[in-house]
Amino acid sequence: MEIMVSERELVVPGTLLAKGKYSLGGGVTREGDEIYSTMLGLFYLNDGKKQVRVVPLEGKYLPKAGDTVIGRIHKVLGGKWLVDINSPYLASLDPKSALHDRIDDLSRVYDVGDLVFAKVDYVDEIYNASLFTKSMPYGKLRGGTLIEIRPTRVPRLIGKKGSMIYMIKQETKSKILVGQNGLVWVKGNNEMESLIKKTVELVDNEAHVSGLTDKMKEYLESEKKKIYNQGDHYDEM
Amino acid sequence: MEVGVLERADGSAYVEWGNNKIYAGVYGPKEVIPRFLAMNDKAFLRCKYSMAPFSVEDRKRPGPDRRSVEIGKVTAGALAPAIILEDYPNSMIEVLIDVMQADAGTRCAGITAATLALVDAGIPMRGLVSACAAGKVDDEVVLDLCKEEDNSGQADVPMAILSRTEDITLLQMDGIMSEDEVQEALELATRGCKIVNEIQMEALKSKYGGD
Repeated sequence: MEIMVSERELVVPGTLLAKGKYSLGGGVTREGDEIYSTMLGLFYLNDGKKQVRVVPLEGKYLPKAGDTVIGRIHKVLGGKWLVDINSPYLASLDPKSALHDRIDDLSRVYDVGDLVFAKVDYVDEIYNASLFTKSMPYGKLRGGTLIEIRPTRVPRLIGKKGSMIYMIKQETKSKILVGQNGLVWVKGNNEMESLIKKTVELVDNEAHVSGLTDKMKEYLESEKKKIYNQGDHYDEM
Repeated sequence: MEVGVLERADGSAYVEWGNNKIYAGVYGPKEVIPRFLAMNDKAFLRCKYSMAPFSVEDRKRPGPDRRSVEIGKVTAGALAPAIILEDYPNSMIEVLIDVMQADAGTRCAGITAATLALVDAGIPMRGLVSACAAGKVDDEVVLDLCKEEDNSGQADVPMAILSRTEDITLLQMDGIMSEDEVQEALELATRGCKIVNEIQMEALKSKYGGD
């Protein structure tokens, strides 16, 4: 039982993390008695559970049951929709978990290209995910702006107990939905939408910086002042 | 070496190795095209190597040729043992290596760059792959040949290892060498790979400010 690296240390694949009977979290692999990192990420040790894990800094989204995601309808088949959820694998949406009544023409409900906010209901071993959109707040997203960030940075955007995203919502008075798959949907007035887009992208790029929520709050306040001072004639960026 | 240089790729790297200048881009995991290549238990790894027409002294005819197909194949073979392909069943990982300027040893530099790009794409790996070539010039075993040494030398031994376990994933030889010389070349190349590995780690860590 030995830990070779310090907490929150940046590790690369193949770094020896620990020796002994630790349980494995994400981003690590065991070879004999030794535990190695498989990802470029930050090392974390859970003392209570004796678990080691590496939180990756890069990577694609893999669907997990219980996640909320934003997807785009990829294809309408006879009996279901195929949804692109920004992952290597398409998810499927069954009419049974989307509608209350039977409808023959599925494309009248969600057509190709529509955005949906959905919950991942079930994922099998080869990542075939089935989605759920039957109840609030799930369903079709109309209008608004879609922002793409790295899925590994989503927890940072949400913050501890939602502190970061709550702060952004408060400051900009806009509607924001965050999908675990790295898609963020924003609806508000035009200036706010573009401001939120800039803010979210900043969070994406500086996710490893500590004290980010306060920094972002300052940034939002100063940007908001700029917008209000400009009045009606803001330049079209 | 620099990581994360191409904006549209999921992961990318740029390596300047002597006069070699090489870009590597990783796309994926994504859906498999053509579909029938998909495997239910692991990801499909496709590597493509190409040289720019202006990368060598005489203009190279653009497009795939016998040599680049071969290097693409051995690169896939060199990288596959390091990647945990089982984590992404029914998908494809595409590695593209582009040589902007060539000065011998491009396959080694290409593999090195591709490894960095794979890590940058967040693909789970058992360890880093480092590559380096040894060779024989004027009856002497040397490390990392340049173009003149390669053309006029007697042998060239490119090698790639999983730097953690020293498992050899690529070993080729072109030329004539005695058994002892091969042994010496292997040891020399292994040492070269270790040095390459250290530079790789530095490059990866420097993307995030080194902390």
